[in-house]
Amino acid sequence: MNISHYFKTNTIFKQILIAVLSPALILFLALFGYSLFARLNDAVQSQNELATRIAENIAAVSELAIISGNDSQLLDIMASALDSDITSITIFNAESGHHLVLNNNQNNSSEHKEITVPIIQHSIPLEDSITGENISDITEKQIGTVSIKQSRDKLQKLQKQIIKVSSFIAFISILVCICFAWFISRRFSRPLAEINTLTKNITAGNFYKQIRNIKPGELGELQSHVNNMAKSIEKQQQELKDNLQNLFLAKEEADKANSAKSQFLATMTHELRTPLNGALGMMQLLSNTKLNGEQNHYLLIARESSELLLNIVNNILDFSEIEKGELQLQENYFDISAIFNNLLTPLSYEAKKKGLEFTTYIDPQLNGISVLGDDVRIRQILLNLVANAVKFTQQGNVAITLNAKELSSNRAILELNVSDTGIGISEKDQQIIFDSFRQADGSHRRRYGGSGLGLAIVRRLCDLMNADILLTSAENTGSTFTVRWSCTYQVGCNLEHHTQQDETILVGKAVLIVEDNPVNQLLVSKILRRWGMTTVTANNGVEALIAVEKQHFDIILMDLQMPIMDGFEATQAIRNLSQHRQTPIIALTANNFKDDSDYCFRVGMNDFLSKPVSLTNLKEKISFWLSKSLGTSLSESVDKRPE
Amino acid sequence: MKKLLYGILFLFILIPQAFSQINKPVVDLILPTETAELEYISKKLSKSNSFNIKTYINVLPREDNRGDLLIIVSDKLLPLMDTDSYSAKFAFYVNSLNFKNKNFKKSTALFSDQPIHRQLLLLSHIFDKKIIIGIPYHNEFYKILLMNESKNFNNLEFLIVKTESNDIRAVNKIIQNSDVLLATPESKIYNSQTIRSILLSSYRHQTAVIGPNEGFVTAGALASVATSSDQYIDELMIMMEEYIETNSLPESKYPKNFIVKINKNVAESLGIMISSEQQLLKEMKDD
Repeated sequence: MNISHYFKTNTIFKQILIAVLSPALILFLALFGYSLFARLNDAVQSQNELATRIAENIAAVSELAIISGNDSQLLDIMASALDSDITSITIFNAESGHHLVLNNNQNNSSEHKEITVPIIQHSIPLEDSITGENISDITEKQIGTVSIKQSRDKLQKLQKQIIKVSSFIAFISILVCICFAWFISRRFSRPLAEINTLTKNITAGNFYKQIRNIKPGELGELQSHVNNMAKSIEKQQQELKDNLQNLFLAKEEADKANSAKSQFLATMTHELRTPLNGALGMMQLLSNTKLNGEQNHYLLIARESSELLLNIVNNILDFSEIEKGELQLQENYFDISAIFNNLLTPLSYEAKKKGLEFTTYIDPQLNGISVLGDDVRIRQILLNLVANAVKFTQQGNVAITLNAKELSSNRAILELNVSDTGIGISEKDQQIIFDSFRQADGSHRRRYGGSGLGLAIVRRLCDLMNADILLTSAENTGSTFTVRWSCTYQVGCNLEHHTQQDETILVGKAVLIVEDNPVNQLLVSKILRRWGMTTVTANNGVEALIAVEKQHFDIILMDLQMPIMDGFEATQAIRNLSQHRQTPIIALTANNFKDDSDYCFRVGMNDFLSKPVSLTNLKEKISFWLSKSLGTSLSESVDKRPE
Repeated sequence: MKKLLYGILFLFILIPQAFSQINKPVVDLILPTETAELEYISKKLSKSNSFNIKTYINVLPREDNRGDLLIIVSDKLLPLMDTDSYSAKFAFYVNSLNFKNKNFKKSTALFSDQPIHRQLLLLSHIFDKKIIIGIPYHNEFYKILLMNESKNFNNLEFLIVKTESNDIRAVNKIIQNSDVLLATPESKIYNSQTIRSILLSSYRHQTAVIGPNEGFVTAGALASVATSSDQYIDELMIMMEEYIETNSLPESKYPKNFIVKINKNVAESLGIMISSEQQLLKEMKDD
């Protein structure tokens, strides 16, 4: 096994335990082994030495007895030396050549060690006092041997005792060592483990369990630091929580206020648009009657005023939608140059009326090209910018250019420039010009009028389209707005051709107008009748159902908000009737919200028109749906023919 | 004048000196080894006015360089006595028996051993009661000598036993059967190898050992008579002068003067009340 890996994966407690214990154990085992070995060896040696000493003593004492051949004396010597540990003593007399053996009857141990020492006849130097010569040669002569058989019993007993005592001491020492190591590692690891638990708790968001038992020293400091850290984190978290709660409450309140504002705006605009529609429609109708010059003039002023008011209301509505984030861009291919021509014609009249030079330029590359985008919103941007230019210019010119730059086979960058020689905008005001409800100077509002929403809407629409909007302006010199965006394009115009529809398609067709507002009801039915259509009116959904059951209708115009039964319910009920499954139903509503239009299509309506309905739009839609249903019925009849 | 006087005085001193040198016989002194004691002997002899000393170690000088007289020292050099180059030969410090056996011509000796009689005399002065003296012998000469001496000492009972060389058991037996062991200068019985056993045995049996010389007393014998170096030299010089004056060789002899040596520790161990060395010597001389 990989020791270092094992070491790393262990807990701190185990690691410290191992680190403290292992050197101590190694040292201890080495010393224990050495001392045990040494002691056993010493025991053997001391036993051997003892035996040798006894033998040597016997040899020394028995010298004379051997010389004198005194066996009884030898036996006495041997008997006196006999020990419980010695099994037998043998003296060999070299001169006589015979052995003298004394056995110990008390000790019959089988295992023994034999030690033999020589018996030497010692000499004494005898020096002549005058010549210094020795009287004869000094040679020591061996006159016999002493052999001792020493029993191993005592040695074995001694060795056993040594092992027993040493082992006992070793066991106690190891036990003490382990306890000590345990205590040390516990002392180090416990604070760390506590810190570990605490930090885990902190991570889990539990701040209540703090370290109670603070140790002295550095670990204790660490513990108290961690405690303090936990406390401060807890405090901060609590503050954060409180702040968040306050923020949440504030946001809720703000949301509520905002939503109330939006709701109010939506309701108000709806409520404003309905009577305005009536007024405008009536004025349109009135203009078609015979009027004298003065009456015509008044009517024109009334219409202009109403249209201005409608424009303001529409702007507010758009803005509130953008603010609510409800506005979504549509995507379809359209001829941008046609939009230019249609839109700018009325404004050019107005400019010319003020004596301004009004020039437009469209990049010739854009001829016969349709671009992808939301035409309504682009129209709105263009209208706002040009209307502003005309409004704030007293003399000089207003120039509108549209340039295109091809990026690839189907992508291009379009750049719209609207420049004027008007009052201009100071650098300071350029920062706030795009804010809602702002005009560069409060005095301008009094002089020029307007809601101050135009540029704000342009700015937000540009954001939605991912378009850049730039303003270069100097006071009293003029301003230039540049809008640049990238879009997909295709060659050829995919325009709706129903504008070119023959009016004859409308003649004699039966229309059901479901509308609770009598003014609108009257207005719409008057217009349609003028186009040669036959009209039936219903005040609510229930009346509409009764009408459709009585009579066939080619097309149904349906208001959405009505008493008794609203437009959605009525549509669902009509679609349940087999004869009206295919009948085109066009919604007419003052509500300009996306939710509404989605819901319209879901319940089975075919199209959606927002009030006030321009006559042109209404005519186009009706013609389109009539021709479409005619086409299907024709194809049905063609299909049926072979039968 | 003064110088002349000095010159005359110088002549008066030197001329007799030169004459005496010429008349003095030359003595070749052969030493067995070089020891301080032997050197002392050589120096002391050279101070003599009667002869001139030339000292050699272990060997004789070349024949053309030999002097008038020869002195050899110790038994080891006895073979050198067998030469005719000298008018007289002195064997100094040799064993009496060894010398007598050789029969050298024109020679005399001063013996290294003490006469048995003197040892017996010492014995009789140490022990006042009647005691048995054990005497092992190898050479028959000692038996005869002792038999003769036994008549002179009534308070001593003699146990004279013939013993083979190095036969310690026989000696032990004598020790067991006697009160005092009288050691003769026979090296076949008493030597470095045997002395320890003999002494050990004697202690065990409470038997005192007497003689034969000072070395034995040091090794553990109770007492012995001995002659000191100075005493020996004095006697040798007397013998030499006697010969130079009379031109006749003196008889071989034992040293005339002696001292007594006692091992006090041994006496205490054996429980023997003994007088001092001087007291004993005085008593012996008065006797």
